[in-house]
Amino acid sequence: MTKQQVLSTNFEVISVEVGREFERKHMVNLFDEYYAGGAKDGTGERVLCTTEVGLRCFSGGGVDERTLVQPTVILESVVQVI
Amino acid sequence: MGVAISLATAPPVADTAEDDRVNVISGEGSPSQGCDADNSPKTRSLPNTTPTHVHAEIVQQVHIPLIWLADLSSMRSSFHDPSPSSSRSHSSHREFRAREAAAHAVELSNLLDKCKLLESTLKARDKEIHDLRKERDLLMEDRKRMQRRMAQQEAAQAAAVANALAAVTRSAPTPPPKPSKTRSSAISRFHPEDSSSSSAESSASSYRTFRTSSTSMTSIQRLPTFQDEYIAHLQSFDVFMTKTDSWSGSQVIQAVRDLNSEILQFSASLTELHYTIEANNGGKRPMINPNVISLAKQNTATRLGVPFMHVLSTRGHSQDSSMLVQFALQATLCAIIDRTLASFCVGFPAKYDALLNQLYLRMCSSGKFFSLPYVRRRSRDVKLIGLYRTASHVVSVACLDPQIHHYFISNIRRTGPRRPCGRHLTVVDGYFNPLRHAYTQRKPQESIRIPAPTCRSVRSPDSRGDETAGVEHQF
Repeated sequence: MTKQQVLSTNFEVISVEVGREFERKHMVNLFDEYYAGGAKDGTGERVLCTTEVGLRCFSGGGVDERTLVQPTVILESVVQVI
Repeated sequence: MGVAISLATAPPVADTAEDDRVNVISGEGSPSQGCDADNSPKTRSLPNTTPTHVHAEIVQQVHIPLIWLADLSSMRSSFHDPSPSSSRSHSSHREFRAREAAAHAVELSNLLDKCKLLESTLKARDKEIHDLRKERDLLMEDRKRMQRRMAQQEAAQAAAVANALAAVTRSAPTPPPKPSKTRSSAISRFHPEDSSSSSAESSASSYRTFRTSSTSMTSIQRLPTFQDEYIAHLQSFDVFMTKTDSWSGSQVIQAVRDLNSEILQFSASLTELHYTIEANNGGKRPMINPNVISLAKQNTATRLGVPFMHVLSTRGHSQDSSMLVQFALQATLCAIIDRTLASFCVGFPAKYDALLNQLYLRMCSSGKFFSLPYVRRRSRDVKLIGLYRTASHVVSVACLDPQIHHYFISNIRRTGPRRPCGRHLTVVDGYFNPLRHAYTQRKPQESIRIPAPTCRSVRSPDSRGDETAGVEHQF
């Protein structure tokens, strides 16, 4: 449990909500190789589900947040690819 | 005795005042003295019993009110010159006597009250002295008994050592003599004071229980000081205020990656098992109740979202759909793991856990420190947050609520069948296969990592089949 031990940094396991817009800065697309990039890099598309959890640490009252491990997600448009 | 002490300890002013007042009354009451004073010539010096001298003494020692002095002077004037108004002077003299008697009565009552008070004080002191003497006697008896016991023990030890040395020298093992019951009875027979000392011992022990332990010197020496307690209290905070983490940051990251790897492998193996069993059955599709399908869709939409449920239900059964099932399993596991790791205590009721989370977020975001006397830091300090987390640790919560594991098991049994599971996913995907029964036959420790109480609930003989399935599908 990340909240059951005393650590000098607050760690939090994160996952992306269903229907949230994809942000390349905070998450990773599992089928990233199928996207050509540029305008079609998947930014702004809806997230279908989360397949891998991420890790985030924050300190300073939640002001300083850093994403150590980005969660892996699947976009809705990947259904057309499969 | 008390009366004597009370009179002796009474203020001397009262006695002198009493005597003076008696002298004054006797001097004033005898008309001969008044006549003598009256017969003396005007130029002759007045003796000590002159009215002015009496007045001064009364004012200085007796403190008679001035109105009495005025009456006294008027009476003296009536004595000095006999006039036809002698009857009036007699009446004023009688009045003065009455007032004097009343004053005496008042002072007598005051002295009696003071005497009673001193008597009661003296009785209390006598009782206290008696108690202290009794305590001293008991302590002396106790000390003598302890000294006697110590002497007996030392003698017994010396005898045992001597016997052991004798046995060693003789190379013949002889057991050391132990004080038996008969020996003690014999000793008590030859030493009757021991039996009396036993009764005194019992009385002493009872009195010792009555007394506080702080009276003995040994207990005073063993008492921890306030400084020791303060230091011990501060040392207890070292657990929370240490700067050393048991895990490094890279270890935490690696643990999360391992967790993702486990999620992927488990989902892949479960999907593979699902399609393997399907292939062994020849691809036959059993008939599924429409109510089961609607319930599965509802549960899947609740956990995974409507879009994913729609994709699972509309996609045709092909090899690609197995990938979707695997993704659905991964998403389910991620949701469960996220929810589990975000909680303060596994199995804690949701509303209490939400309360702890709210407090935790408030501490993180407010910037105001919560009133802990020894932690004068702001809540931004992660140590304080860590202290709060530790306080809400599962051990602490379990100490508060010992039935939390039972609550966790019952909660999983109650809500487990409603959780998204492989059966629901396969039902939404259009199939119903004995995947659930295949996993029921496996040991829970081998298939999934679930808490020990859940494993116990799975293996419990009184658990029904549906409940077992629910627990198993909780993953």
